[in-house]
Amino acid sequence: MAHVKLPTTTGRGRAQMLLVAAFGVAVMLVALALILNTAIYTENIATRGSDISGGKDALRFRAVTHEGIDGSIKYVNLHNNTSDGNYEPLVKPTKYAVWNLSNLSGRQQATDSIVANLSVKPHSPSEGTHVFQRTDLNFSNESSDASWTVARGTHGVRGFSVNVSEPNVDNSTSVGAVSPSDEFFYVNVTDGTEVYNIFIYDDGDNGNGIVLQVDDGSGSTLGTCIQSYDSMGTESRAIVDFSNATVQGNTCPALKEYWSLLDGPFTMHFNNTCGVTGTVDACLTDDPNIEGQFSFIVNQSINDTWVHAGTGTSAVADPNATTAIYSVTVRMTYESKRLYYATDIRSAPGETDE
Amino acid sequence: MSKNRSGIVERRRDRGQSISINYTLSLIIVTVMMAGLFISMSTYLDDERERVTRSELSVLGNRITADIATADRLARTSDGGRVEVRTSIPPAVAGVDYVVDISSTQYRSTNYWNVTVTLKSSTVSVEKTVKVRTAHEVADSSLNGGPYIVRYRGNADEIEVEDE
Repeated sequence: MAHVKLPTTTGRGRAQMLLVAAFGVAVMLVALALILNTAIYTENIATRGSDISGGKDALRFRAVTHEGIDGSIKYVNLHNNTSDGNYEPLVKPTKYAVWNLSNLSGRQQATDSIVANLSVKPHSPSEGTHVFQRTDLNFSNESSDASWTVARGTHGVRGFSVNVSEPNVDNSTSVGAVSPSDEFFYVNVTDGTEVYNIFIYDDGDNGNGIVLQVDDGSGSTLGTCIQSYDSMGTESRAIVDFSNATVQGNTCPALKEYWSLLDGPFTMHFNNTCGVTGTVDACLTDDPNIEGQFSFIVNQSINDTWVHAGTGTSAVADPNATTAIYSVTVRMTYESKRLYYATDIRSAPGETDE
Repeated sequence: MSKNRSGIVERRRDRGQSISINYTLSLIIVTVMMAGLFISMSTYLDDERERVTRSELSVLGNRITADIATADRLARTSDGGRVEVRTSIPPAVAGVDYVVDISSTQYRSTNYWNVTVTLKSSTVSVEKTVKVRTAHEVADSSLNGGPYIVRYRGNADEIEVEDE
């Protein structure tokens, strides 16, 4: 029988399938390496923070710049104010302060490859008037009017605080029910449509301290805040901060709300400083309803005719008015390799919107 | 029956067999096993590639939304200002091109916007969506990979994302 057999080879042609399979596996491994590479790259990117462009630094720079300009305004107002209506001694140092700040912070940011610049915008800084009374007197104007206009048609009042001693006592049993016809001092603010009366008086027999009552013009009470006095010897004093909406350092919600409801230019009066509304010159004859010190800055030039305060600096002519910078608006640019940020910064320290 | 050299009778074990069938059979078996190996490895590679693509698209999506959120935050504090954020994303993921679609819709009737960033890989058929809420509208746009810029202009009051 013939053997059906293939002629044997010398053995060199063996394992061809294995070779093909090996090539195939090698290609697969290369593809796997590519995928692994992508995975490593992805995990690397995932470990980086989300703020690669440096947005937080830009915001920090803005906040610090804002504080710096606030400080400059306060310093200039403290040291350069006059009563002669000339704003140059205030405007020049303010602009110079901004220029200085721009140079300093620009140089500092440049070490981090960031270009930063500040420039004062046109029509800025805005001229304001600082009205104040620094000795404990009644709250009438220099003509001793019991009710007088403090500011008319102004767009802003900032840094408004009152340091009170011995307001009139309300002996009624229910707190928060006084009205303009009673003998209690109140601040009247109106923008033409909204009217607010803010009364300051003593709690009387309840003995809880000073009362702050906010009314809308038609007699309904929006809120009251009662805080105890600070007693200094025989004196009792209390501080009401209208701009920060606090009474004796504690937040008063009623004070906070009404500011935000005012729209557009408003007028502010001090009423019933002595006696009752309607009696002119009452402070020459009647007892004061409130005594103490106050201070605020109005967004109007001292050269406007509405300012009804004295212009001297002697205590007898209190209250006084001097020039002051109300606000400064500055254009800030911040540019790095990945980020460009430009914004206006309006600085008005002590304004309620801040 | 044949006798070997020592004269012992041996049984033939290879009756009914053919060398060529033996050879072909081995060939077929090995081929089938190799094919099985290749197919399973190929499936495994596809799975891995899809997983890696999904993971990377998620990371890139989060980066893009982080940039949009940064631009939005700066835009919120700017007063009539301008914001530009420049970053870049890789042109391909796991060797495959992809497309980024960005759109926003207003959140109920508030002043906030829901922004949706969708990343689609063209061949691996993977799609990833990342969302963020902003205070400014984000204009509809699409990116291809590479450097891009997130821009806010005070007068337009909306955020634009576009390739650079």
